[in-house]
Order: sequence, then structure tokens, then C-alpha cells
Amino acid sequence: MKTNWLKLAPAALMAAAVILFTQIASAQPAAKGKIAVVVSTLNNPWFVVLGETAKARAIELGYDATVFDSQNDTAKEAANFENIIASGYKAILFNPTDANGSVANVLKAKAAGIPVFCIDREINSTNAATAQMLSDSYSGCVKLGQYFVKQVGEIGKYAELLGIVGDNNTWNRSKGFHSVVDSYPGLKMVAQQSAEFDRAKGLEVMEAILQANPDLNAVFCGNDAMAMGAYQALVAAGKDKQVKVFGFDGADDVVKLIAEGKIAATGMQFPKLMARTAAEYADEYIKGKRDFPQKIPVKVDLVTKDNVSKYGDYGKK
Amino acid sequence: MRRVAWIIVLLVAATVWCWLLPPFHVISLRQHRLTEQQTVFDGAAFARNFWDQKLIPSSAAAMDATALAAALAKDYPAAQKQFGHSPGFSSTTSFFIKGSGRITAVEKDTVHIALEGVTNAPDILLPTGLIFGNVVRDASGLLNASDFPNSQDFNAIAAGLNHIVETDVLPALRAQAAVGKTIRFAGGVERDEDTKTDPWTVVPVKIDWP
Repeated sequence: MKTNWLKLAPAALMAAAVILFTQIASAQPAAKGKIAVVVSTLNNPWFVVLGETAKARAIELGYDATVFDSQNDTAKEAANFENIIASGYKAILFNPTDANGSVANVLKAKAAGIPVFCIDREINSTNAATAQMLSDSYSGCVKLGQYFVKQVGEIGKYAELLGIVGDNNTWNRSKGFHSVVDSYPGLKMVAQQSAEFDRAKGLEVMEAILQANPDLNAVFCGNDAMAMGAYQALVAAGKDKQVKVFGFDGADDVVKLIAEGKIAATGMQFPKLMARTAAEYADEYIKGKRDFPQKIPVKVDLVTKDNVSKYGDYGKK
Repeated sequence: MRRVAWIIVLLVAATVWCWLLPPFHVISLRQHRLTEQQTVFDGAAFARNFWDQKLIPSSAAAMDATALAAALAKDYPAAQKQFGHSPGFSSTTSFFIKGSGRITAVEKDTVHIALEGVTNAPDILLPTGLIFGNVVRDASGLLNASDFPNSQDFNAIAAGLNHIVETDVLPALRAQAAVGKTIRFAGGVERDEDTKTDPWTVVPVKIDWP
């Protein structure tokens, strides 16, 4: 059997063209380069929204964007930074794991000429990151504390679920809340424990607190994931009507439960606004802008049953 | 014999090395706690210094309340931008204002004031109970969040300033406020797009009785 090479030639040429095109496409970086999005954890829907919004905005602006998960582990975060620095990224949109522990990573990126824009969480330095977009957690929790006193009254027993102890947001929220509530001596905090911003741990810690304090009136949680865990524990114990739950974040599931009258209040943090702005700042930096304010507070809104209809989808409607 | 000499030489070398470059230091727990206390930011002390050195001296230059009301009524966004302080992304703006008026009511935690000689002026409320929030820290625009590596320090200043208002200003206001009396005040007020028509709650940093 004789092969008709002339008949096969167009097919061979087509195949060669496809292979060549694929090679070129895979070797060619996006027109504007790559932006890295480093998120403290993707085990919390709020941070998934933060990371994905930053990535989507960077792509809209013409960059390739990749999300890195630090899994709430500073060692994993350091490895992510080393990988990013070695891989030629042009900017890092960064949600840090630890206010002190993350500074060294940002300084390494800075030394390598890569600007870092912090989102939501702070690092304890004013000369490492290019800019830091931070929820004004303290003021948000002052409002939450004032609403807490209105709802619970000036006499009662409450518990507090703290976030990660190395994160400034944990303490800004706790201190904002206590700056109000501690002025009322009739309000007794019977337990204060960390549930590390985690829903499963929130459930676990709340169960233990309820066993020791069956007459609890309220629980203040440093984020909405813990508030959801605490609420689950209260439902299981049949105490969801007795104990008022206060969260912080503006997560969709909590906003829905506020509308249903099951959770008392939360603080809306606007993760999409912060993430989009960080991506836009990175784009401006790459285009030559250098004068960014170091700390940019982002207002937090109090969400209660009275105004919940105005909020949803991680922001104001 | 030679081996023993070598061991002695090595021991002496190790001793000298440790003397010059000690691998660790032993300090007492008391000393450690003292060092820690010295490195912790003292928000109350910073607030007191800021209050005495900057905030109170600048109160004479605060914007007149009636002039601000007129500017806000004429062009709210322009007046916000020109006279207010709104760090970062926020729909709330803080203003540092002064004014004088007649006390129209005294309630448990509030003194009501009608501004002098103005029609359509906002009702002024001076709180006399507990003070919360950042308006005293932010209204003057003299402090900037970017100057503080840790936002907890910046927030501690707000708490410190609120405490000074509660201890230095409010006792005299509570004691002397009476309906019909004229009062001069300077302080911080927050305005928001959503609260344009509400009375102005001014946290006072200074009051006088003319």
C-alpha cells in the first residue's frame, strides 16, 4: 500500500500550526504580567470572596492572576512568597496571616521590587507594604457594642469568641466592643475564648461555654464564621432564642439569619470593595504611581434587623 | 598528656567564645515584664499630650457651626471635602466645629442647644454620658492612621481622648447646664449621607459660660 503524501500534507500542516499556536500561547505571558493574590485561608467563604474578587479584578485589568492559600500558617505563607518572588509576579494582593509574623514576607517582596497591597488584615509596619486597605474593625465594633447594650440591656451574662490571637483584627474588634460594654458593670463576661475565626471551632467552643454557663444571655463573636458555629451550637442545645448572637464580617449566611431574626447583628466589612481597590492600586503602581497612603481605613456598617434589607452579597445593595 | 592539653585548650577557647558571644542571656521575669511594658504604646499618655499640646490650642480655629451648616446645605459633597475629614473609604465625615447658643433642654445624658441668631440651624446635642467612637480623634484632622504601625495604638488614642472628655469636660457641663443659659462649645461632629437631617451630636472638647 502506497501512502499518498500529497493528500496528507494539508492535514500535517494544520497539525503543525495547531501545535505551534499552542506552544506560543502557553509561553506568552498575559500582556501586562502576573499578579499574585495571597489569602490567609480559603477555608472561610468570606476570604474566598475576598480572594476571588481581587483575582477577577486583576484579570479585568489585563493581568494573569493566581490565588495562593496560606492556610492560616505563616510558614506556608513564607513559602508562597518565595514561590511568587521566584516566578516573576508584578504585584501581590495580600491578606496576611499574622500582623507581626507576615512583615518579613512583605519585606522580602519589597526587596525583590514587588509591591505588596494588604487587604483587610494589617501588618505592624508602615514601611513594608505599599498600602494597606483595612476594615475599621474598632469603630465597627464600637457600633456593635452600643447595639449589644440596647438589645441585651445593661444587666446580663455574655461570652466572647475571639479570632486568631496574632491578628490585629481580633484585638481591634474585641477592644472596640469592650470600649462600650465594659462601661456597664451589670454586663458580666463569663467566658472569653479563641475559636480562631473558624466555624467548626466556634461550634466546639460554644458547646463548652454553654455547658459551664447555661444561663448565658448573649455571645459576641469576632467574625461571622464563629457566629454561625455558635448559632449552630445554640440551636442544638435549644438555646437559640435565649442567647443573642452578634457577629462581624457581613457574610451572606449571617445577613440572611439577621433578616430571619435569628442572629442579632453583624458588621459589614465590604470585602469586594477592598479587594477590587487593591487590584486597582496594583495596576496604578505598575503604571508608575507611587504616592499611596499607607493605611486606608474602610468603614464598617452595623447590620441589624432594621436595615438588613439594604445589605447582601458582601456589601450594600 | 598531649590529649589532655588539647582538651584544656578547647575548653578555654569555648569559654572565651561564650564570654564574647553569649548564645543566650538570662533575665528575670520581672525585668522581662518591665521591658514589655516599656515597649507597649501608652494610648492614654499620647492622648493627654495630644489634647494639651494640639487639640485644645487648635479649637480656637475650629469652623463655626452655622457657617458649616450653611456650606453643607448649599453643596454637601463640596463642604464635606473642604471642611471635613474622612480617612479612607467612608460615607461618614468628621468636622471640628465651634459655636454658641442657648440651652433649650437638659436630659439625663444630653444637653440641647439652639444656635444663636440663626434660623434653620441644626439642633445641637451635647452628650453628657459615656463617650464612644473616634470623632474626637478624627475631627481635627491632626492625626493620621498612616503614622501608626499598629492600628490598635491609633484606636487606643481614641479611647484615651474619650476618657479625657468624660473626666475633664463633662462633669462641669452636667453640673452647670440649665435651660436658658448661654454656652460656648467646641468639639467634633460626624455627618453621614444617611443622617443629613438629624440633630448634630457634638462631642465637646471645650465649653465656656459667657
